[in-house]
Amino acid sequence: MIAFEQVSKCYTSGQEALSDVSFSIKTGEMAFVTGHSGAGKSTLLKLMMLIERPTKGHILINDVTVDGFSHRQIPLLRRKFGIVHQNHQLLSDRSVFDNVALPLIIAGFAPRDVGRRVRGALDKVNLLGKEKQLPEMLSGGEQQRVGIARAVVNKPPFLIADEPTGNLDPELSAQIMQIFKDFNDFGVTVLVATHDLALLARMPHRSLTLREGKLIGSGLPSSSVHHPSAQPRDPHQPSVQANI
Amino acid sequence: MKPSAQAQSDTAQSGFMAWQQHHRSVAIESLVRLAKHPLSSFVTMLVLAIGITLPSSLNLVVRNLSHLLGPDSSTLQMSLYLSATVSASEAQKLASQLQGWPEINQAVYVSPNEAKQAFEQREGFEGLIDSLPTNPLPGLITLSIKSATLSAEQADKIETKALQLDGVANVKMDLQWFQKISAVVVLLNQLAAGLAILLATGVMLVVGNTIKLAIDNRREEIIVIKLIGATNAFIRRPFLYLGLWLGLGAALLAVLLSKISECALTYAVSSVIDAYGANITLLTLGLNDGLLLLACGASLGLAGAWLAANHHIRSLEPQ
Repeated sequence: MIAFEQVSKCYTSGQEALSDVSFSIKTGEMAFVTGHSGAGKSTLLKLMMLIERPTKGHILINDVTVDGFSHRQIPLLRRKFGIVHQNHQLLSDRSVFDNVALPLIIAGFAPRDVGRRVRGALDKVNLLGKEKQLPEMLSGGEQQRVGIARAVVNKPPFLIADEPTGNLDPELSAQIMQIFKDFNDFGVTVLVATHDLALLARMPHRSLTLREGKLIGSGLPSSSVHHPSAQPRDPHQPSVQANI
Repeated sequence: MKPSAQAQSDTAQSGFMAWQQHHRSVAIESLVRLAKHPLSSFVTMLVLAIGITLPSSLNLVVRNLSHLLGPDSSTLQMSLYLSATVSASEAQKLASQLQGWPEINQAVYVSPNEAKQAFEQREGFEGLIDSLPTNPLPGLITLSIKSATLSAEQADKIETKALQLDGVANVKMDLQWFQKISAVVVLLNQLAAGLAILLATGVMLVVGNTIKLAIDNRREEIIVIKLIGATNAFIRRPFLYLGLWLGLGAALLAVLLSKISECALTYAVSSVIDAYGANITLLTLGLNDGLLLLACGASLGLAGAWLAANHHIRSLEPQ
C-alpha cells in the first residue's frame, strides 16, 4: 500500500511542485500518474523513494510512515521498489547479466541464487540470450527490458516506472506496458508515471492526474473520445510470458 | 533444530557467504582497476612510497647512530672507590648488595692487589708501585649499568645513592659523552616522529584525493546503485579496497626504496669503516620493520580512503 496524506513539496527555489496531494494505492493495484511535464509526476515518485522529502504531510508505505526515515533506513526502503527509468540507468561498463544482478548483490543474495534469479528475470523479458552483452549493444526497447528485469529481479512488492515508454515507438510501448500488466497480475503493485495518454486509454486502470502540483482526478481513464489518438489494443501484439 | 531455526541459520550462512563473495570480488575488481592504468597507479604509489620512506629511513639512521655512538654495557661503567678501612669481605658484601639494585647489571669487586696487578701490566709502569712503601691503590667496585633504561637523571641518582653507602669514598662516572649523544638521539627521534606525522597526513591526503577522483569517475554508477537501495557501506567498499591496495603497493615500493638506499649507504660506510679498521655492523631494515611498514602503508591507505569515500559518497544523492 502506498498512501500520500496531504503532501506538499516546496523546493528551496520556492517552486511548489506538489500541493496538498492525497491518494492511496492498494496492494496489488496497478495505477498511472499522468499530467504534463512539470505537473509534479517526477516529484511524486521522488517523494515515494525518499529522493526528496515532503515539506508537509506524510507518506505511508505498507502502513509505515516513511517521510521521517533516517539515511540508514532509506536503502532498505528503496529495496522494496523496483524502479524503471525513462533513460534505463544501466551501467554501461557491465554486462546485461551484471546489471540485472546488481539489486541481488546489494541485498546480499548468495552467489548460487543470483544466477538463477537473474536468468529467471531475463527470461520474463525475453532477453535470456543476451546476458553477456553490454547494454549499448542492445536496442532501446531491449535496454528498457533489461531495466525492467533489474527492477523485478529481487521480487519487490512495488514496481515504479517513470516515463518507461518515453523513447519507444507505440508498438514497443505496448509491449513494455504488457510486461507491467503481467507483473501486476502476479500481485506486484505497479505505478507508472506517463504522459502517453494514448497508452493510458487502452489500459483499464486508475490514473492520478496532476496539474500544476495538484491532484485533479483519480479515476479510470476517460474514454477514447477525449483522446482520439488512442487505438484499440491490437490482439496480435506480442505479449511477454510472465512466470513469477 | 527446529525447521524454522534451521532455515534461519541457512539464510544467515548464505548471507555471510554472499558478503564474503562480495568482498572477494570487490577486492579483485579494485586491483584490476588499478592495473588498467599502470602508469598513473605507479606514479601515485611512488609519491606515497617516498612519503613513507623518508621518516622510516630517518628512523633507521637514528637507530644506527644510537647503536654506533651510544653507550653499551661495556662502556657505561661507574667506579666506586672504597675507603682504605674497608676489608675484602666487607667489600664483597657491598658488591653483592649493589648487584641487587635494579639498575645494575653487574658489580665486581677489584681488591687493591688486583688493581695493582692490572696497573703494573701497563707498559712503563712495571715495578712502579713496588717502589712505593705501601700500595696506594684503593679497593674498587666496578658497576656496569643497564644502559637501555638509563637517562641522565637516573645516572645522577645512582651516583648519589652509591655515595651514601658505608665505605664508599668516591664515585666516578664519565657521563658527558653519553648525555650529549642521548640528547642528539632524542632530538633526531622527535624530528623523525614529527616528519612521520606530517608525511602520514600527506599520504592520507594523496590517497584521499585519488579516491575522490575515482568516485567522481563513477558518479553515475553510484547514483544508480543508491537508487536501487545500496547502503553507503556497500558503495564505499571498492574505494576502501582501492585505498588499501594503494597503501600496500606504496609500502612495498617504500621497502624496495629503503633497501636500495641501504645498499648504497652500506657500501659508502663500509669504505670508511675499513679505513678505521673498526668492527662495526650497520643496523638494516629487518623483516619486522618491513612488515611494520606494510602495515602502516595499508592502514594509512585505508584511513585516507575511508575519510574521502565517506565524505564524497554521502554528498552524492540521486536528484
